[in-house]
Amino acid sequence: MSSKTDAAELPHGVVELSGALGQAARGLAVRLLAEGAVGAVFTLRRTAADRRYCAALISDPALLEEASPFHPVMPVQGARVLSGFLGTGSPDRRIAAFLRPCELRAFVENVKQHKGGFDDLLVISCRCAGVLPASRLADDDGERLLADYMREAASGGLPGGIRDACARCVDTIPTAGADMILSETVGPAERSTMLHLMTDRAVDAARLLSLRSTAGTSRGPVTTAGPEDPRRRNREALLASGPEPGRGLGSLVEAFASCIGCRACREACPLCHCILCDYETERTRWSPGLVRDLAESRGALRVPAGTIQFHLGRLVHISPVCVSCGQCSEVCPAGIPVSDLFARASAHVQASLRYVPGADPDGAPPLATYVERELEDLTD
Amino acid sequence: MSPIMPAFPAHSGVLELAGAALAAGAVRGVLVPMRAPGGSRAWSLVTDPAMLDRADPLPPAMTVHGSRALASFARSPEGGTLLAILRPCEARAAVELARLGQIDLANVILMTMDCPGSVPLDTHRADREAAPDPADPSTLRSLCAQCQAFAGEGDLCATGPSGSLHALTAGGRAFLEKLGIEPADGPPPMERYAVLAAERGRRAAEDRILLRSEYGGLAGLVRLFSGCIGCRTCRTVCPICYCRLCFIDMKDRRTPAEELLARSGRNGAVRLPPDTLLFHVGRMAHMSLSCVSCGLCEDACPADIPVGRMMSMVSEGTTGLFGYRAGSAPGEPLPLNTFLKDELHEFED
Amino acid sequence: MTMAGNCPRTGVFVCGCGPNIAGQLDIESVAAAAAGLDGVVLAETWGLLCSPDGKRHLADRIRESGLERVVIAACSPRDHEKTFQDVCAGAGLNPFMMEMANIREHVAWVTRDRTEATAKAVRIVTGAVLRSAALRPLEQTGIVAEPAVAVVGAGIAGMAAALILAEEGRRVTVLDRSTEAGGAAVLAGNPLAVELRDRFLAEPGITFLPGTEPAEVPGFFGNFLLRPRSATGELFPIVRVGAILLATGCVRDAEGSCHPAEGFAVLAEMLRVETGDGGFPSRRHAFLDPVSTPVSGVLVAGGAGGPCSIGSAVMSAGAAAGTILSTLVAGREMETEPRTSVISEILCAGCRTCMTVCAYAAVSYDAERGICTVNAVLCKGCGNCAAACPSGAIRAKHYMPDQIRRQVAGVLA
Repeated sequence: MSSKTDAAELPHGVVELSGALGQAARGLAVRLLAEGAVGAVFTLRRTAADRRYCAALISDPALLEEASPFHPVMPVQGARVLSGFLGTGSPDRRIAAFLRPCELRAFVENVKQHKGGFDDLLVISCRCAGVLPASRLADDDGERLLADYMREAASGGLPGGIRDACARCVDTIPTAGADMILSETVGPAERSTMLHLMTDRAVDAARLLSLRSTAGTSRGPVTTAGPEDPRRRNREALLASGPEPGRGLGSLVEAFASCIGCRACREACPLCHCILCDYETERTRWSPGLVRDLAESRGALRVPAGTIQFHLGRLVHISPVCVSCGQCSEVCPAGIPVSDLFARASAHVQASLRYVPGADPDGAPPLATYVERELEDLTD
Repeated sequence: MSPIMPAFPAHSGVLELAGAALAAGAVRGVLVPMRAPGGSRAWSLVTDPAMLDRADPLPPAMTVHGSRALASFARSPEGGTLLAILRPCEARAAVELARLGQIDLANVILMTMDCPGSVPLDTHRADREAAPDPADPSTLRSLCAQCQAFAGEGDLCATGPSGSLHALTAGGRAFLEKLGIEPADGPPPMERYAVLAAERGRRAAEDRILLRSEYGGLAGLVRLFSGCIGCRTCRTVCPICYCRLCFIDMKDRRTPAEELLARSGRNGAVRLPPDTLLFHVGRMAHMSLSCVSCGLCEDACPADIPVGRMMSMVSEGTTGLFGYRAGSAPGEPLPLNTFLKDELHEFED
Repeated sequence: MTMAGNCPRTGVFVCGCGPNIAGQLDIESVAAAAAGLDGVVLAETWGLLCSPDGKRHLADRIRESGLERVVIAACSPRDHEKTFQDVCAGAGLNPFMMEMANIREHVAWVTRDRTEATAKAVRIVTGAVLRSAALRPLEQTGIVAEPAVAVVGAGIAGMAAALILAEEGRRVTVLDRSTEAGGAAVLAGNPLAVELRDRFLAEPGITFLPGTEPAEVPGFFGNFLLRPRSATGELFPIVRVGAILLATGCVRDAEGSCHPAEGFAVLAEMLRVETGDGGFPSRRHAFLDPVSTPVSGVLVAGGAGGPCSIGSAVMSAGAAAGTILSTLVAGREMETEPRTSVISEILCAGCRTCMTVCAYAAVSYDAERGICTVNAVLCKGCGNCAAACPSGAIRAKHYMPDQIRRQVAGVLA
């Protein structure tokens, strides 16, 4: 997946907000809602359970006190939830949606499949330092982990304990679809967050809030994933660590030997939005006769049958558009590093298809686009 | 006809029985867990007795519920007799699934062994051979530590330290006869487990008092499920939930965006994805009567919600209303899908 | 002709039903409230909508206003649903785009206070309007019936019915376990019965198969495929009939109680006719339709329905034959209920719960595919299966989840 050191387009303006990322984001949400720039806010929110968060659509500015936009946790993938909600109809008011870059990339892909649209959204993204696994955050040492994270993120480093997918993510700033991008200033000085206004819609909102651009700034948010960045090295290490040629199927069987067929990976994935997965229909169900026959001819057969069939199928369907958010690995009860497998497969598939998910809202999704003459270089 | 009163550890004796049954053609296949690459266990339908050397009945962890593995290929009785080697709760769930039209037990012999319980999936992942200690709840999943129905289910069972075989149904007896095996006399002696069962029962009762006080009522339920991320893993691993498409996912039953926004406006905020309680309470309404308290839902939950303990408690209540026991004699009607012209008058005003 | 947005052009007609409704609630207010709902382009009152004037007015309005939905707030659908459906059809609107709101039985006749009654009527009408927007057109369907008839049992009732039917030109096939026709009455030497037997045997339109009973009867009203089998197990060719009359009689046991003939339970199960007290078959209605079973095309006459005199047996045979003659007309397309249930083959998990609650034998199980299917001809649209399905795989046409939800939302608004 390619990446740029600057935002794809230069911002129309940049506003300095006080406070660290989360604080500045909350403040922005409060003002957007209170001033009527938006009618509701889509964000993470504290729940009644200690250190557990959920996504919410908040209409009451007073309740935004409990909002935690860009808290370093991802209990649900924002694009999955947002597409699920917007897929059932259009909102009647503008919604401010706080989305991390991978959530935004996934949402861009979903919009191409008509699961939501940008018309009624004010998309606010950020320069992302990664997220901590939700169960670690809720653990006994979660507070300490969080404090360490905040410190590391503020200095532009790689926080410990974040998801593997985050530790190798080089797309830490969004390249398309964001109206606003928040990036915490890096350095020991008093914490502040820059608000980059990327679109006219953002400029209008800022004007409504009487926010002033700081003079002389025309640069977009700067990524931290430079050439020497550990994230880039981690990614290269992952891509280099795949199975040897010819060992693909065998290594898949080993990887999914402990799979319990719970489908949590699919349910968590922002890009898997079929009402009824193909792998739960009669079309792909192994008939009793087939199971018995194969058990006879091989001497034994794993049941329920079709473990690899499901995962291979998902790899085929999703790898062209996988945004490597890592949600799948986080939810797997068997601890299978699903997102590692998908990241490797996606790197190859997306390179072959010359497709970068989420980079171009007008780009045609490869699996859903049919052109008379295409991909000739991939055929014999 | 030589009687077998084995003095071997239960596992190998059971596998010998399975191998003998295959070799004699008394069964066409044996459903039993096998060791998989990496040391985990996966259910297998075994037809070649030689493959049984990798088998591991009642493995230390419950990864997939045995009844779900059985249901995946035993919807109809064709294909010859099957021997399924299961935990007691797996056999009970198989009976429930038969009542729900998902398994045809006509040619299936359900064989159980005394179950010491299962270690949590996390434990199993860290150490594939970590074993459950039935007397030490810290090694067990929460529901295993409360389970009192860990022996004597199915068509036949291997029970006690000597693994003596008891036939519990005519089908079980006929199967043993075919193999020339004389089952042990009388029903399985449960007195040896009385102390353990009583302790488990006490633990269950205490836990339920705790659950009710902590999570009783609507507000309590909201708090219980506040960490829920809607991954539906609890539903997918549940042996009873077999619906092709769950009610909560049906397109024509989804709440439209306009209504969600209206809710957000009315209440100040709406949680997304919505209807967390609707999903869990709806699932309770649908499967509670058949819940066998296997606890897979809780073990697999990525948000550490004690959903298994809650489901088990609710199931105790709902089955109690009908005087029903999940997994009891296969001929008994399941209240959920049995409609009689004259019934349930006791629930009328 | 549709309004901007998603709402179809809806007309609301509030009927005063003379003084029945108008005397109990304020119909003008109800119409005014309806006028404010999305999609409602016309809302008015009328004195008696089911009168010739009223129906003409309704038809005119549908045509001139280009109405796509019609909501009629009036009496019970049991009274006039068909009436207003016919008006719609005549005016070019699919009859299932019409929704009735019962503000007579459900409001006017049970609510004392006028203000309260008006408010309640408004809620019910709002629900109906919201529901109507989600209605979908349904096509009236039919099948061409096979006019031939089979009679099981050649006793008094069976012979009498067969003769009536044959005299009206129907091909009748009669099965009896015994090698002799006549049943109990002839055995007893009753001279009228003997005479009837002679006429029966001489009638060219009747094919008598002595020593046989039905082996299997797949099919449905208008299209049963009956296969007779002899006592020795020999199978006869399939006979295709449109209706089956059970005239198998009854027997008195040592204690004096009457039971259906031996083996009736098997026959009833084959035809999926419910049996009630004492093993005798259930009827559509004890008084209004005592010769029909709940299964279309399967009728009962004589002792098969319970102990009765010879006179009653002959009368019931006449009633049954008459019912068959009038409902099973040669070449006639029989209207079937369009508001049937549909089972999604993707969602059905084959649990067969639906079969246990269907009173019309309209659901069958396909063992190969492991799913259930609904026979739309036999389905009477009762909705039991859709309610009972644990997997939500069954949808009742005209009572789909979105239609129901909108109605509830309208009532609660």
